[in-house]
Amino acid sequence: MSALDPPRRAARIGCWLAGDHHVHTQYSRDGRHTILDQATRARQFGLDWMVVTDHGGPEHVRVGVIRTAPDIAAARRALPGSLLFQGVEWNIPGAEHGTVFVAPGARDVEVLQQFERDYDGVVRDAQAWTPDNEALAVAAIGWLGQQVDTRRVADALMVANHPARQGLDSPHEIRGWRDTDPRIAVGFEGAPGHQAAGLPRSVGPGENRGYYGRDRGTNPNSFLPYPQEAYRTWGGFDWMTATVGGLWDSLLAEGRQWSITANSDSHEVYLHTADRPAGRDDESYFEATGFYPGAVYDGVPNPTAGDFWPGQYSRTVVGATRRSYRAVMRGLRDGAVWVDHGHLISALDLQVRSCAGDAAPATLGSTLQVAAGAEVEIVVRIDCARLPHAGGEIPRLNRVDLIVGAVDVRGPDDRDAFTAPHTRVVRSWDTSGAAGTIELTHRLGRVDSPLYVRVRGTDARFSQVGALGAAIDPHGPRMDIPGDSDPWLDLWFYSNASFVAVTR
Amino acid sequence: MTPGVIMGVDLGPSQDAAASPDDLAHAVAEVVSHCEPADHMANAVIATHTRQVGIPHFVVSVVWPAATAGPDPATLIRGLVAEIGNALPATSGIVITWPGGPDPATAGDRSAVVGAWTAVTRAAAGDSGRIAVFPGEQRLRGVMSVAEVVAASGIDRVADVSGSVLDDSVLIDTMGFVRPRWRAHRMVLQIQRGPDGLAIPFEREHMLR
Repeated sequence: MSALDPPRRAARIGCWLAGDHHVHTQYSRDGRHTILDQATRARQFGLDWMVVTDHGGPEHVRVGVIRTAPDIAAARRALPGSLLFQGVEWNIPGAEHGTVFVAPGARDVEVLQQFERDYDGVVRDAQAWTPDNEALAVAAIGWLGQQVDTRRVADALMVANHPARQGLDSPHEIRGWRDTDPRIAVGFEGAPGHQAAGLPRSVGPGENRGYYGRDRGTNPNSFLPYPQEAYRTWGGFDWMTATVGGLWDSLLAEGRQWSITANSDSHEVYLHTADRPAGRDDESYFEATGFYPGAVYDGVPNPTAGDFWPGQYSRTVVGATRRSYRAVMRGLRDGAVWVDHGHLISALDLQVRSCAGDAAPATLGSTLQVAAGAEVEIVVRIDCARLPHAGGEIPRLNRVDLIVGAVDVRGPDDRDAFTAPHTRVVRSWDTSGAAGTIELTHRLGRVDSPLYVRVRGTDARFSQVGALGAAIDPHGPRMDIPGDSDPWLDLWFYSNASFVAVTR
Repeated sequence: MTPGVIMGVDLGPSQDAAASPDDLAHAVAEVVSHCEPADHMANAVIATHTRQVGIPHFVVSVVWPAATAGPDPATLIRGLVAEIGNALPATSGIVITWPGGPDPATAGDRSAVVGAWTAVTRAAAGDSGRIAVFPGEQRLRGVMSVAEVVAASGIDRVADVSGSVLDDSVLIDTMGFVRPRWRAHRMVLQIQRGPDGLAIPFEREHMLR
């Protein structure tokens, strides 16, 4: 018997809801916009849901977390139909940042405030990478699970943000969060925000795409075995996700779901005209009050800002049973998720099915259960973009790659493993010229052992051989060039994984 | 480079959490230069190494090449001991080794001396450490060819992320911030592709938000 643990049953996907779980407002030291400002932009750019995630810290735990709630309530009234969650950007003790958010309810603010007070790395002065602080992070996730079990909140999720930026999230910490409560710790950002940061100095910030970190040896809390290239984005995506056979695949190869997302991390938007009000614009004001007044618009565009509005460039698209807060959270947890940049595609359907037709097909994020030796095929259906993205072009999907990896539910002996040796690109389709809906089919052949599949696609203007070699990924994303990474010229989508479990 | 005198310094866990590796390297350079003639400091290479025991922090190594005039270890340690609790935090530990010397000279807090040993052994192995102070650093400004970088400074080679050594004629925009690493006892500057067809150092001065 070789089966995934646990075999997952597909939730019927009733609708696909685009969102962003990483957005800052006037309640962040480095923010400026009101919640309504951000939520309105999210709506304009087609998002169905958004999570407000201001930085955890002494001001936020005292003021921001309280004031956010009525602002969200007002934004919900102003934007009926938009699903607006309250969350926090958690300073994970001993590690990077993460989004923590809860289903709306009578006690959501109370739970978030208590969480931040007891478990935020800045509030608790617990940012150093020590065993005690690692344990505090694990305890935090356990505590969130208890809040769900005792029904103080209906649901809670944690997603690690910009995980490879400074090398702070070690593989064993990520596995530890997941294993503490896989209902709560469900994934990481496949692509960070700040996607405009790599625009050339002549027109933009001229920095590293995603404002990714400097190098090894510049933060004493970094996980030292991560290679130098981990500190850069690749085609806009985090190295953990962009490397075929890399860290993300090593998690999926355990037969466990781990979702990737793509978000704006919007603080200050490229070419924005929004200033903090004069005299109330510096950090001493923020420290005294816990917020900035909402932005004033002076009409002068600022080209040195590196972010986009929510939904303007990055989307996390979740398959949900229906349009509701809890259905979005369930979809994220199940991995019924695809992400894109520049609205590269309009819809994605991934099916893994038995050729004999004797089992219910797996959809995105779920598991197909077959007998050993069954013939299995994969069908990818994509709606190509029909409208220009916010950069002004109709994005072109020029290549789609199918990635398959072997599953070993025992997991790696080394909890710090960050490679999956049996994952590779098995098929690439040249889809240049594609329009409307395209359907791509790949026969896996007889399947004797468990596996997972995922797809990615690109406009294919830039590529390089993947970090683990041409036999694994001949046309992977390119390592982004500082000051020469126009985000509109390098577009990718990534699906999450579906699994095949085999019974003998 | 064959190391001669090697000094390790661990300022202890009390070091300011916000201190960058450059801050620490320069702080140590400052203290050593008070104990040593200036011409000795001109040859010194100061690097930081990560110590992930207890609260992770940086430890500092100072290496004088065997081929050049280095400090007198006995004088140096006397001078530095006097600075512990003054220019150096009371939690500091120091280790000095030299070729063919008797037992190494150590001073200061016991746990920090262990950290200082970490710096010494890493520097002696010559395969890790981010170098903040090295001969010729201040001449690396503006756009320079690989050959010019190597001629103007202690940097031995320039390589890309894969480790491939670059042609002498490749142009590098130094951006006024060059931080090589120790690799096999050589000072190696790692670069990446930058805008306008130029190479730029892999590590840039202001990247984090």
